Amino acid sequence: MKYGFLFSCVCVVGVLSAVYPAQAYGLSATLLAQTQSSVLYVEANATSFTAAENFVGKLADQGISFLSDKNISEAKQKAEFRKLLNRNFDMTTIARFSLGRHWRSATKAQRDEYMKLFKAMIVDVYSSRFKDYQGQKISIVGSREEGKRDILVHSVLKQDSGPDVKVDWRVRNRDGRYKVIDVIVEGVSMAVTQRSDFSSVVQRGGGKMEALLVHLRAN
Amino acid sequence: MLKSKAIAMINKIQNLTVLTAFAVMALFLASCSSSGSEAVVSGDAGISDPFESTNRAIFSFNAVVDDAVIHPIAKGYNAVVPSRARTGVDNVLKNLRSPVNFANQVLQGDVDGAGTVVVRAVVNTLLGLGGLVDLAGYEGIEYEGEDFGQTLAKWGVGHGPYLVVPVLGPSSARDYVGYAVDSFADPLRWYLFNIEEEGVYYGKVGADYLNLRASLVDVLEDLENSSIDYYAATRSAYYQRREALVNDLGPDSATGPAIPDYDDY
Repeated sequence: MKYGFLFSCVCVVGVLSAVYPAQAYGLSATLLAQTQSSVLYVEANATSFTAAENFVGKLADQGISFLSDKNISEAKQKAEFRKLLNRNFDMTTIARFSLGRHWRSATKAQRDEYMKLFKAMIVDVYSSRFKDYQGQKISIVGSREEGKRDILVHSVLKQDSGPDVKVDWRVRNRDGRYKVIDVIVEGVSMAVTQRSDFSSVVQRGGGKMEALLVHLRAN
Repeated sequence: MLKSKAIAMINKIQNLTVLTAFAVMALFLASCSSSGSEAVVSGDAGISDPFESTNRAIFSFNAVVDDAVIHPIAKGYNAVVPSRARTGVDNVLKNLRSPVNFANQVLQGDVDGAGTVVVRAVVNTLLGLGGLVDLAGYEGIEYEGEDFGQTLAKWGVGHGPYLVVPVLGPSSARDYVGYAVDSFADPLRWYLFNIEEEGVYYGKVGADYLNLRASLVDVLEDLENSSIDYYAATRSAYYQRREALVNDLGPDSATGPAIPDYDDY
């Protein structure tokens, strides 16, 4: 019995040494190749990528930290969060994108009301999203160019329970400073989902902008 | 007696599933040959939902079942079972999926991916207590779930119509056919059916379902709270998520939507 166990241990170690280093070398070789190519790439835009990554890192830390601060009342938390969002998110772009083609057919009064209601709603949406992240750590893992204007900052959310979550932040340089225009969680863009949602509401309301406003007012 | 009766019933249900899958495939091929562009939902390029009213009805039905049974079970599972144990269950189920993942990686021509599946399966089965511990994952050899729906996508097959399947939830003609093919071809199923342990196989299918639903509790609650039309939001999220999976969540392969500079407001 004892020898049988010993034998299986030896087998396991044998497999370990055979399989593991092979993969480890393979892995480090790919890692090396990736690092080299990304070094060349980053050198061209080093400052803008670093700046965008720092911007997102700071924003995520701030957002998570005071939403998980139990000493602040919920109303105060929301007020602070609203300020943070208004400073760091490009609300106009997010609102316009979310409405899609229905913007064009809306009247001036409808546009103004939509903008106002959207900003109120988005604070709720993002603060509940950030609330899920409280007490957890977001680490920035890299960034790349998205389209011609934007930088997509990749981050990973380490959860206490459950697997890591990939969170990508799309930031755009507006008037010399970065602003977030979309947050993409595990491949699902908040802006695209919102637009699909709004579009369906308008369409089912007979193509009328009013149908969407009714729902937004009710919030 | 009771067991064999139950199994016979489940077998029937499964045959039915395969039949529906074939029916769906036929439907899907038919819709591919017709133009069908008028069914595309505006504002969301690429989503085709010609059966929207039926889908919405099934979606509501699923919501009722979910609220009454599945959501409480998933929440209870998350609350009662410690997170380490849940991770262990997740690891075992992922490990059992290795043959399916391997076959699909090969069919997609992803040699690196297929190698990763083999290394993960060997390391985690032999050294990770039969798959309970994701040792390979700790070493940065990450799990990638592959299914036949993704393989079809790699082969250039589009989604076809969007489908909400009773109990299973959002899918598409392509992905549902993929699901049926994966379930049918799974060597684990063949093995367990051969040794007449069908019950074990169905237990595993149930565990897969609960595991997935439990991992989505927060995500779906969030989506429901933040959307006006939950059906449309779910549909959009489903398409985006599948797109990301087809591209293996690669940061370089996925491109976001064009978001213009709006300077007129």
